[in-house]
Amino acid sequence: MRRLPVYLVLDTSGSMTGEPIEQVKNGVQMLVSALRQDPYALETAYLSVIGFGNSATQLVPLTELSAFQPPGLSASGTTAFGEALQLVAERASQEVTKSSASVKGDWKPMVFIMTDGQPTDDWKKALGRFRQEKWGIVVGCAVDSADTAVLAEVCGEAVVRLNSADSGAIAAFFKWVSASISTGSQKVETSHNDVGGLSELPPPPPEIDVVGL
Amino acid sequence: MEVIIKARLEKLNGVSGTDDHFELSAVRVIVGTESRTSQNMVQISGDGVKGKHAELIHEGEFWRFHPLEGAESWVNDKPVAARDIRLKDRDVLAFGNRTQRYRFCLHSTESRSLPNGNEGKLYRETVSASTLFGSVAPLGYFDLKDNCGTGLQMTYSGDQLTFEGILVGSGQKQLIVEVCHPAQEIEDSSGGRRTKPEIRRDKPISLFVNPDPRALWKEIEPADGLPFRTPHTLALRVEAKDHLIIAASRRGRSHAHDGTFREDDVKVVHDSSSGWSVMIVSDGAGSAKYSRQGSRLVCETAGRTILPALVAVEADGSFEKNCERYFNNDRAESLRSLQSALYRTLAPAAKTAQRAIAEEAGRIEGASENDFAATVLLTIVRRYAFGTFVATFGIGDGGVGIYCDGSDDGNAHETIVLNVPDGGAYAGQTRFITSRDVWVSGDEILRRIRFDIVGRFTAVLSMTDGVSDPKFQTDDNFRDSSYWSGLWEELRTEIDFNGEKPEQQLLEWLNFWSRGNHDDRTLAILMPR
Repeated sequence: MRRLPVYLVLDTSGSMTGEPIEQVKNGVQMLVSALRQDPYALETAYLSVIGFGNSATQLVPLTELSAFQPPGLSASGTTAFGEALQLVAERASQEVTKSSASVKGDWKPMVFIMTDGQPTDDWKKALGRFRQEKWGIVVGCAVDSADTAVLAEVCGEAVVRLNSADSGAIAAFFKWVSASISTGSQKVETSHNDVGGLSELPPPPPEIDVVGL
Repeated sequence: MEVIIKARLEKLNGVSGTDDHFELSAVRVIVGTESRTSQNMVQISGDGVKGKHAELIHEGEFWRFHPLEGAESWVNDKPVAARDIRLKDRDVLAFGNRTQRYRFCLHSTESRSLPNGNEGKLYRETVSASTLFGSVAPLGYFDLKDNCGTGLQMTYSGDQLTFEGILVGSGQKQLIVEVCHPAQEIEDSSGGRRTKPEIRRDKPISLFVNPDPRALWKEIEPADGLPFRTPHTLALRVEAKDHLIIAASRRGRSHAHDGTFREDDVKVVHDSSSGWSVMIVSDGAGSAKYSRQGSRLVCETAGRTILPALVAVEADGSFEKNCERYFNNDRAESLRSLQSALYRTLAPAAKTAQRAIAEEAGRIEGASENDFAATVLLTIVRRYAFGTFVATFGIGDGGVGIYCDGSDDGNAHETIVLNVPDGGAYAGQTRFITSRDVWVSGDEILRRIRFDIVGRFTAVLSMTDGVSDPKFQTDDNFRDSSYWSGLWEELRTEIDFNGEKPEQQLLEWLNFWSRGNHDDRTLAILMPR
């Protein structure tokens, strides 16, 4: 079966401490609950969570939705954004099955990157590695004052902004990510095509602005 | 007694990889052996960091943390200066030196989660109570006070709890386990002894039960007023003198869930005077809004035009002679003649279908030919005394094969594959009858024509990708006879080909369950008798 890999790359730096990180935790929990009610996603979507603070860590390896358990998230440290890009590329190259004549590979992964700050490491070097992998869609989400120019280099036009880090905005983001994964898993199954651009995802709710290019 | 803290280890320096995500077998909390009191030692054995680093004392819902002298440690990334630090659940503690640092996330109280289960399935998980509850006090006995209606039962042996049962219902569940710490004699601060009374606590444990995916697929009727209405199922049977053809087509669960129509179609025809049989299967493109009409036009138009063409080509008897020569390995002349005859019959039938689609698109305002995109698998069969001639013309996904089962006479199973899907490994490159590049040259058209002549055979099968994807998965497997024999075994178990209505049994069989495969399914079978 062709899986739809989904990587959630989440900022867990010190500035996310308190309400924001709690909302991210709730968001992941809510996302998983919603997707489990969707037969397309339940059968097709595989989920991984990568957190980045002082360093980047894969908190949950690519796991089928039915076996997924939300990870503990704690906010501390700096913003190792580059390390996160490097890690998601490395993990995807190991975890995502490529197509060949004898193996039907996975669909191209969907990546959702959420950050509320400026990278504190050499992210441009990591970007080269990140671009070596084939992605279906890479969505960047800038929380509050995060640098959208950095995200635009990674995600192209698929950059959105949350105008606040309050509970409503973060919840709305995760709800939209969940709807996007639903749409993606339905698309791959009915059209037999990879997920392409932002235009194929459901329209974001009012709490989310599309930054674009 | 050793208890492993349920914690996550991250390597701070260098790039993270697989190695830095593991449950902490390297870190041990050793109870009661390293010191007189029941303090717990954090001991690390890993590259660059070795030895005892701190004491961790579990006190109810939190941990008290005492770094040892000389060991550098951090709590939530701040260097630890004082002793006696109170750690909450999910706090991050780190040990190490300038070059190497290991971080742990403490899961002392919230980690009471069992592995997920699946509704209606047998669940059996054994977990350590100390891991589950993060408790290192001597544990006594356990009782599952509330299974939250999940149908689970719990047994225990020592500190190992086993939850077992067929899961009922779905969603987030909270089980309540009563943990009893028995009364014990302890030494008090003045050196005397006293009895610490028995403690009973109710501990919640969360368990997520996945819904049965079959129950999540809805069956929704397409909206009223939509054009080109199509029945959700179709079952056909044609009985010829020396062979039987059955075919069935069924709306996929994905289309039922979304309230859309079946986009596959199938047609089987037999002409008793000439002896020709025709099977056409077509899969309307999911991305094309009127593809159900496209596949219908392919089946109807090609089915109508192919027979007269075949009768004409057969008329002077040369076709049969060439078939016989080819079958007897006299192929110098016969191959060309047969190819030419097929080019003059199969290609025009498909081309007529493409024209019918173009005309239909012209009749509907705002529609283009691509709105009717569909694949075509056109198969023609003629049985002669010396053998059976089978030819195909195919555009797009799906496949056709001649299967010869060897199980009854002890021979190997054999399959002659006549059509493999277009486009190969790269999704999105499937061709349709409406694709311009299909019709650009004679060579391009000839490439799509395949034929063979077989002596003995079990069946000719033609299918859309709704069947070939779940049953074969890849193009390589489609050429592998073991997959064909597996498919045939399934079919002959479920279908009584000599029965009253084998086509209805075929339609039922098409409802098989295959994870991630819920497309429309169509299969046509021709078998000798």
